[in-house]
Amino acid sequence: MLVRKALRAVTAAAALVLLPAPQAHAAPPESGVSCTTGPSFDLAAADGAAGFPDGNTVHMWSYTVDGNAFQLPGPVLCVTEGDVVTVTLRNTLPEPVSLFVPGMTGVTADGSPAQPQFTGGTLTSLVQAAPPGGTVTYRFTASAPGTYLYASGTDPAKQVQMGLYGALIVRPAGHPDRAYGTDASRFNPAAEYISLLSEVDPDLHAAVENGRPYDVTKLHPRYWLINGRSFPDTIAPNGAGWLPSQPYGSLIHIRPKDPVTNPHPALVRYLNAGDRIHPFHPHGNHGRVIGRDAHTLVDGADLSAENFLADIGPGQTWDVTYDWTDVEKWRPGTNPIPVPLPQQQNLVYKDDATWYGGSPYLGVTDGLPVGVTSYNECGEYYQMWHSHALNEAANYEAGFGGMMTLERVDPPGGCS
Amino acid sequence: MRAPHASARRFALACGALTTATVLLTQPPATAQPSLTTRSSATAKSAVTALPAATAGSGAAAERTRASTAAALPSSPCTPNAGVRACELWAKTGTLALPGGVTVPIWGYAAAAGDPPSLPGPLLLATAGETVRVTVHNMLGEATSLGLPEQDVPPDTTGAAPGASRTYEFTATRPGTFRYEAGLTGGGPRQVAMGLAGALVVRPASGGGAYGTPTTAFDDEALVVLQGIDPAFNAAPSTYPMSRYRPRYWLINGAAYPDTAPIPTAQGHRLLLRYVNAGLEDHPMSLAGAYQSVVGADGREAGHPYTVLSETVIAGGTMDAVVAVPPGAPPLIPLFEAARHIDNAGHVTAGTVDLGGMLTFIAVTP
Repeated sequence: MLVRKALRAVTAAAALVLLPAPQAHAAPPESGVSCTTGPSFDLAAADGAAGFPDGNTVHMWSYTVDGNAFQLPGPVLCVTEGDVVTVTLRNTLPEPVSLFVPGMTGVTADGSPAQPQFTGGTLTSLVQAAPPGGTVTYRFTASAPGTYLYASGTDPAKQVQMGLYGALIVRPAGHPDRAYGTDASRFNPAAEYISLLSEVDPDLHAAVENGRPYDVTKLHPRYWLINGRSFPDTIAPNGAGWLPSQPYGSLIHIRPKDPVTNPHPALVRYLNAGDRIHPFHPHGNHGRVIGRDAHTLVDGADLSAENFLADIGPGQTWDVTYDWTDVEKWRPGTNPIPVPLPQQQNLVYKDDATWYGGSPYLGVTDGLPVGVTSYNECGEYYQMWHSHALNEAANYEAGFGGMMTLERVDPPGGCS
Repeated sequence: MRAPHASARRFALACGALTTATVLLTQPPATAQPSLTTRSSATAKSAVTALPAATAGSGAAAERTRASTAAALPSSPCTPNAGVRACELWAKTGTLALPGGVTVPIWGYAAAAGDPPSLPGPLLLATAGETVRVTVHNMLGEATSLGLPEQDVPPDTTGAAPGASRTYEFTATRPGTFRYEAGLTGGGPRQVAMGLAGALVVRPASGGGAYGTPTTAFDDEALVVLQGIDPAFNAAPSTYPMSRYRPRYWLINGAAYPDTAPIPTAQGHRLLLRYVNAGLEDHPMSLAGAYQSVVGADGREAGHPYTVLSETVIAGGTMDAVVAVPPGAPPLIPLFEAARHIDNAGHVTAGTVDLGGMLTFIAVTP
């Protein structure tokens, strides 16, 4: 099934954000996964602030590269299968904090097996933690490729909500173009994405910031994040200067599938660090689920399945490949769209702004009514990707916003 | 202090790392009862149960099994007699002790007229092909019926009047993990929220394992029944507005951590977790440091098992997952609800939310 629509509506908030502009520096990449490479990592648990599109700023805790500025979420840790990974966590927060990778086996903490911690018979942490002002060093062998969630295993009801989470990618040895062990999981490494889902209840964050009590059973998220940002910030480039503590965008930027020039799919690595199930829905085409929780569904028997809604549950990671296929190949003149096209005077552009390029043909732009601003560069298409729990497509309950991003489909030759 | 109740006594404890003794169901908790924490509660989940795993597990695997370290299903009140499995349930009021000294009224099923009701209800256990005859004795103040999803039983919208009994009969045509609960009388939904629900396990007639197949073979097995408690609802079950129903306690087999029973197994064993979501919300259930293969759901064997860390057990659903405990597995593998329902009414000690709720440990012996 293929749905192909140019996105015509744009919110007022979105008008504040420009399309990704070419970056002066090659790193980080404008879109796609932005790796912090290992296998040794010096991280700090720290506090800082994140900004949301409605202008609100929220106190957050997160993991940062020790010595670097605060960032949400924690850095994307990239290692290679077989690496002996060392993570040293320095805790600058006022209570014990840990870095817990539930999907990893054989982890040690300061040389001892990682294990639940009991104090006076009371369970205090699911893994060894760094005390305030202290450090803890975790070590493990990245024995299996895949996508892993890391998060605090200490007071998770509060600390993970506060922002202590991130993604760990283990790439197959010698094959950065595979998600798992065989070519069945091959993807286009230039189109590899992270979609780390989470939620923010600003009341809890304000309570923590001000030392007030909070009842976690009354959690009421107001912000719904992909990679630490809410829409429309999600489509801003990696490292956008106006989002200094939220370095990761989630724009999916691809070209049509082509057996010669673009044969391999994009790979989207979904992770859910939140406490809600997020039914994530791509527009444009189905995704193919090729792995769950660092376990392949395609090497050996093909257990992959296509869907247009993946119910990403808390604690889960899903590896989903995605192609966009130009099935109809509509072209002006040679293969015109066989229905009358709507006339410009019959179209309404909310807030006089749009991503539509004025033409429904891929790679073609055309005129728009006087006074309408288009963010379109070269007739590329945009489609929404979002949580289909539509209350989550909002920033403090005002839409559009929240857990939403865009897929951008450039013409086959790109947008040069 | 947590008061003993039937289900707690019935569920396996046998923290194998710490004990080699078999404690019979009917015995009071031993003073030296093994405990992962220094619980002062006398309930410390006594019981070792014991359907020998050999009856259900694969043969070779069963030989490795030691009763003292093997999780097993709780005892079932269902008695076999000439191809008929007769089960009796008493629907009645009772109480449930929760961490923090909280006691709430419940409605639950008991296995005998004189027993207190338990959360969840007693295990209904049968073998495929048998006729199952379940009699519900209604000791509640309102009509109640029995709902048996997936079984060939017509919906009963009338139920048994207070003080009366009603018998339901069906053929257990397929093996699997199922749910039973208060049926479709007017008060049925509230009765389920009060606790009138439990697990029905049907064993395959041959072949062993959960579904009579090698891929569903196991050495040890445990029920993991998920339920929530909203004390405000439980205090006024007939009048509380369900629009405000919001559980504050989260239970595995009728207990919230630290009262949950550990699930004993051993390195190299295949541990079958029979999840039954008898609550009103979906629950993603995760391990840490080990993975689970989903081999069945809703009483259907999975055509192609898949392996995950965390999988969502939907409200009303069941899931069968096998944990292949690796040879080097740590002594404690956390089993927890990944949507962070791992607190007890949000209780805080010194600024830290106490770990509680849907959390337990798979206790692994070498």
